[in-house]
Amino acid sequence: MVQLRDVTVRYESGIAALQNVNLTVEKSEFLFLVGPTGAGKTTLLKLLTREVIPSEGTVIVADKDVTKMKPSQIPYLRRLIGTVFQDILLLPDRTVWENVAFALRVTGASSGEIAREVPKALETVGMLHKAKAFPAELSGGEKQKVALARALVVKPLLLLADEPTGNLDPTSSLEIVDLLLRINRQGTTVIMATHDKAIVDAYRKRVVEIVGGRIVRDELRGVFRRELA
Amino acid sequence: MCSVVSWLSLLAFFLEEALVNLRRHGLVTIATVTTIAVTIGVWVLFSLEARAWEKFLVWEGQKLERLCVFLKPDADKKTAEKLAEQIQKLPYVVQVKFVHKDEGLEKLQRMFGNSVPLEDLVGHNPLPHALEVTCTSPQETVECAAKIKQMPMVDEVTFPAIAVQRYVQIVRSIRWRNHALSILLAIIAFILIFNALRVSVYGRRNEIRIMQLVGATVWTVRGPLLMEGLLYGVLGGLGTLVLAKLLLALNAAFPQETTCWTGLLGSWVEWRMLLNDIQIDSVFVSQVLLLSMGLSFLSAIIAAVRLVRAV
Repeated sequence: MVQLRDVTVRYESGIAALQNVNLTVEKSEFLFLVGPTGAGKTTLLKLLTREVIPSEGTVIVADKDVTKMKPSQIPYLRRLIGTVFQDILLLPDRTVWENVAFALRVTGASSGEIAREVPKALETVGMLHKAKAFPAELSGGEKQKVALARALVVKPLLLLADEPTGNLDPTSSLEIVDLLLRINRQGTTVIMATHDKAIVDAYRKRVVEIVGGRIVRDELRGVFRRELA
Repeated sequence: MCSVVSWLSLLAFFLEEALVNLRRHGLVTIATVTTIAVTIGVWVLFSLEARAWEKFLVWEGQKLERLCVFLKPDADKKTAEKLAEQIQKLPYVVQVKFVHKDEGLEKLQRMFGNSVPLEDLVGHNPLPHALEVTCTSPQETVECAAKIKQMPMVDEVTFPAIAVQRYVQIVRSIRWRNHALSILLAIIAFILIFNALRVSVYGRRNEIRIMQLVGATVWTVRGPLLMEGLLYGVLGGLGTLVLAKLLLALNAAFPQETTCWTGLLGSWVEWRMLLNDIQIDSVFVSQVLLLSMGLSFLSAIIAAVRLVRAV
């Protein structure tokens, strides 16, 4: 699903955000990306959505060479990828339903398709009963579930979650990760960048650790190292 | 069929998003729409004033496009007719009329009045045969006169040279002024529309970010802005029509002597005269709306391309 070959990202100042990164993520895999703040986790995720272009190396997502992609092809790449962030980014003046439907509307989906897919996505994250609520009426965990529904509604092959539990209490965090795992079991590849030791240790999934822009550890049933906590 | 549905669905989305933004930034919307309305309104007034000037100048110009070609005293009627044929072939010449020297004397007599009998005074007709040449417009008379003057058997070519020169200057200055002011107004309207859309982009930064992340094409992201520009144009055009209606109502309500249009070049073109030319019919409505929507949409395209780039 994802392949990074000898990828280096260097800023104009010369500082390298990532150096010689090699990583392969198979289809339907679940991966925790760990590392201290500024290690390069977000940069790595942005490489996959082509928000960042590597200075060197190749990035392949769903058999497509992202580095060689024309700007006009990028939107079609992003339709294969769902994204969830720490800053939840819901539209405050729209209901939960409208927030989820927004992702479909911008790709020109018909009203029939929207009426069919939005309830499914909300049902998956357990938020269908709050479809008419506005974001201000929701808790942090509920907002993140809505953001997750918005990412899911386009039926992505790959789900990128950048610190999705960063602002949540432990119970909500576990709910979100449980949801991500459920989505993963349905066949979606999930890459989750996190600082949450408890979660990484509890689920024992593949863990890739980045420090100073380099991958320093890649374990199949890994834990969050104590020194990172 | 599927792509048609997709396009219609996108257009509906653009319209909804644009309306949300017009409501969200109400003050900016009012300021922009008012500016467009005034801009188009002033354009309409300028074009009416220009039309009034042109009507006046065309009427005056009819006297200025004629040349009088006096032949040499020994030129007979046959020579004059040959010369007339030659002159008729010149560019810009519309008509050449032969004036017999007797007819010329009659005309001169009429100018002096019958109190002074010219033929009795000089004993014979001293005038040569002449040709009256009509050019397409006063601007061409100078060039025509110069060419005719070089022809054989031509003694003198007369035309109101200073008046022609002044006429050409006035026409040029009116056109130049109208073009310059139109461009200036268009620039002001463009800056305001650009800034309104900049505010809109800032207010919609979350929407834009989400759109880009879920795979909206760059033109889909720009779509609501273009629709917003188009709506500014429609509302601005409607504003111009309301202004025109108000002016016509004022025109009907107040006595004629109280108002006088003072154009930049003089004060004799009556304000009333301009308003009398306005008829709010389907042609006027469509012209105003097209002008307003065209200006706004063009500004919106430039603003959208500058403000929203592919990420």
